[in-house]
Amino acid sequence: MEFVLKTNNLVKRYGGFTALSGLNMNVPKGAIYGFIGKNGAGKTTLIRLICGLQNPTAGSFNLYGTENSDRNIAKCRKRMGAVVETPSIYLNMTAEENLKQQYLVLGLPNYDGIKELLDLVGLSDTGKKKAKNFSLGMRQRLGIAVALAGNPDFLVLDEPINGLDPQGIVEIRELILKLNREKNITFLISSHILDELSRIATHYGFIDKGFLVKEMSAEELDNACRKCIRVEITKPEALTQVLDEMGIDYKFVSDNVADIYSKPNVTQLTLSLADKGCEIISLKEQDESLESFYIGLLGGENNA
Amino acid sequence: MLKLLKGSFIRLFRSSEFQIMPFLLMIMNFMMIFMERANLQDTDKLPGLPLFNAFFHVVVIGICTAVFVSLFIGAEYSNATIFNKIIFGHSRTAVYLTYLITCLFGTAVFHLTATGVTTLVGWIALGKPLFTIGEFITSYLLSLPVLFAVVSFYLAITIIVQNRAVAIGISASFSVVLLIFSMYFCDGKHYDNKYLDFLPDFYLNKLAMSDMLISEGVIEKLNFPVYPCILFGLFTVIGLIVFNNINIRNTPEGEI
Repeated sequence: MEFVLKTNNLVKRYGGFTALSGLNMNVPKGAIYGFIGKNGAGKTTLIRLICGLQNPTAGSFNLYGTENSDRNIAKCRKRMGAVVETPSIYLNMTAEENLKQQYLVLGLPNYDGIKELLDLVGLSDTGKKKAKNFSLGMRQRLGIAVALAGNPDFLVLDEPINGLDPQGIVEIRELILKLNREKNITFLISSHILDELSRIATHYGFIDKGFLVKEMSAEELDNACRKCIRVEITKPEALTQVLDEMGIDYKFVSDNVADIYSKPNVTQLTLSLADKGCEIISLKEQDESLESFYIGLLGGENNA
Repeated sequence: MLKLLKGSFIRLFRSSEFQIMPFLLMIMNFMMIFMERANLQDTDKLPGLPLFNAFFHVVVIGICTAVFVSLFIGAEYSNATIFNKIIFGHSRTAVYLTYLITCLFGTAVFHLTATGVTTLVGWIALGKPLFTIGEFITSYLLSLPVLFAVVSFYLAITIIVQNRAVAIGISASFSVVLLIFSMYFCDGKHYDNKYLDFLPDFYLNKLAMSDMLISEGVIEKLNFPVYPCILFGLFTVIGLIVFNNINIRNTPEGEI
């Protein structure tokens, strides 16, 4: 698998406070990588480091195969765009003027493509309206348009839906999915709004106290969070035999407890097990959301 | 860096702080000119425009420069637009020098605008200038190294503070203190003490009244501002070192 970003024991300290303590993460090419953690977990610190706004205290990271200590890292950053904390836009300029400024910063030879960018983010009809008069969602979309100038193939978004209304959230979500599908842009999105992230992310990284607690694909997370019926029985071999005969997917979580990943006919299952002398001790539906998975992963509701 | 400069200059000409600054400076000059005009006994016989009338605003230009630099560069932090320049691979040195050159140019332009417009208005109100074009250009050029020292100082402050509101507060307070401190030494005894040129406002005071000081024999002639040149170099180097090693963050408007 090709990775856009890999970090290796990344450490960042601010005086006596350690924001990142040996973080290891891998962002695959073409992924929408959801970076999840509570406030102060170290999400923005990592983003600042990879954007070159701050330098790591120890460890390293690798962007498109180039180490952060390499002199060519600045060139690699030209392939990425970012919206860190707030959209980086001039409030006294229009959307078009902001993009023109960014084109100059990038050293692009002409202003071709500005109209397409404005169309893409749905700001082509803002005319002479200054960015200071934009709604939060419009500013966020303009920030993304600015980050997209220069056709980056890696986009870093720090809390992109913070403070947005439901309509704004839908707009940003659709924009991210569109860019990922149509332009194959890799995304690193930090957020603590788990429900929203679970709708778009293809990979997840869970961070807590500067550590990456777990990294997994959406598929793995789906499996971990699948709806199931948890059944506790007296004879596991009987359950195996019955479920195999019924063609039902299942997994044993302990000697006498299994998760059944579909909705069996409970009466039929009970009778079949009874025929084999197996008793059902308990039967309950399990429904683990990303939120409960996250809470479980980080050890209790205090961490949510 | 040329593209960065182009973008920065476009922003400069569009910025309200840059557009307003010459008018603020001219107010002081116009007040002097119109007071003199009002005191004239015979308006048919105009006395002429002395050099100090055209340059009197340099007394307060330190305060205006402090406000201009902190507003203009501070906006890069409050809007977080400084991030775009760093993320897209520009070196911090290039970004800093772009800011410095833009502010130096901006200050030189609004100073020249204020001086030029004042001279024209003064010409109409008080009569033909009592100075030559050479004296005008010399005075303007002598003021530039001092202004550059002032700009580099306030740019370094803004870069270190990384917060527009706080930078304005600190820079404006500093500039007022420097002005008061300089005024304290503005007497005949100290004008020839070149070490006091380390206070940029002291030199600017001297420059504002140079034609009077020279004609009254207080100073022989206006010296070249060597010490402000040293200060300019020093503040630029300090600013560059700090900017290359600082953790860049943004503070949205309203947050301190």
